[in-house]
Amino acid sequence: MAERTDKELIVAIQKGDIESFENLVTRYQNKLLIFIYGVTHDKSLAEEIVQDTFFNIYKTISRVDVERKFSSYIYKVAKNIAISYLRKQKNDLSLNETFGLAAVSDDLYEDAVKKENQEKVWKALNLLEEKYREVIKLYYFKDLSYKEVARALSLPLNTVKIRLKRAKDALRRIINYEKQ
Amino acid sequence: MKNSKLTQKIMKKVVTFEKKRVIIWILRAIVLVFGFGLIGLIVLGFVSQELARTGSFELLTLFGEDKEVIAEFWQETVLTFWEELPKREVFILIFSLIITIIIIILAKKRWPIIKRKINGLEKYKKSLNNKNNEK
Repeated sequence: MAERTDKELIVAIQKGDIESFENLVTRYQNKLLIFIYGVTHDKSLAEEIVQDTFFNIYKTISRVDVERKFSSYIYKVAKNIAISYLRKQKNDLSLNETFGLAAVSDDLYEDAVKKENQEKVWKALNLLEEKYREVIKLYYFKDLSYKEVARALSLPLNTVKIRLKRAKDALRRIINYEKQ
Repeated sequence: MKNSKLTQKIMKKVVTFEKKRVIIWILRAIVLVFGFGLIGLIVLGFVSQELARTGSFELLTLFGEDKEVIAEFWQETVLTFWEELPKREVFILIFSLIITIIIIILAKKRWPIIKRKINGLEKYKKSLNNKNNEK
């Protein structure tokens, strides 16, 4: 039998089929665990958050819009729950930095995949010279434009562009080197 | 990572929650239907008693007469009967009847979902029992 789509599963759950929810859980729990573990670095906390995420989704399943992408929705719920957990723990880290999301894209599933490489990027970033690191941080993490970076660092626009290009090349080299 | 345990934990939570929700739904439906039904019956009893006391039911014997007699007097009879009805009680009776019907319609509409949930809960209960026995 062909595997049922998310939409079919959700419609079935909305019609009272509890087993379909188990299918949904098996489909997403590992992906969510990886995503949340990347944020919390704590396995038991990640499991707790994943449990809460699924439980919350089940409670509100009748309100889930089946026409919208479910993967995005579930990551959004998981992210919100993780944030409230981290808030509860009075984590000092800036939440946006934790998630590496200055601007959260709609498709959190894709973000989750990207995030797998985030730690590597952070490590590589620390190996860069300060002048390159600050350009990367402002442009990518603070989401500033070239002009705004130039203004913030009192540098000519072209210098910012060149530094950014060099920084990206250096990062790529470091990451590739570490892969080997 | 092995996550069948996590799935079980999640499903256990869901099943417990759903069990509670289904029980509450059933109890609420029963209480509402029987509650409004009972109110309706009590009021109906009162109205009947009142009509019997005033002898208003005798007015309705007109409808056992010949057609010509009925045609001539039915409007007047119905009007008189209406006049003698205890209005407030009749409104309560109609209101509780409408509410009971609405609740029954809504419950009937939702029943297939609840039934499916009950079947699902039964299955999970069995599988949990089997797992406990295996242990």
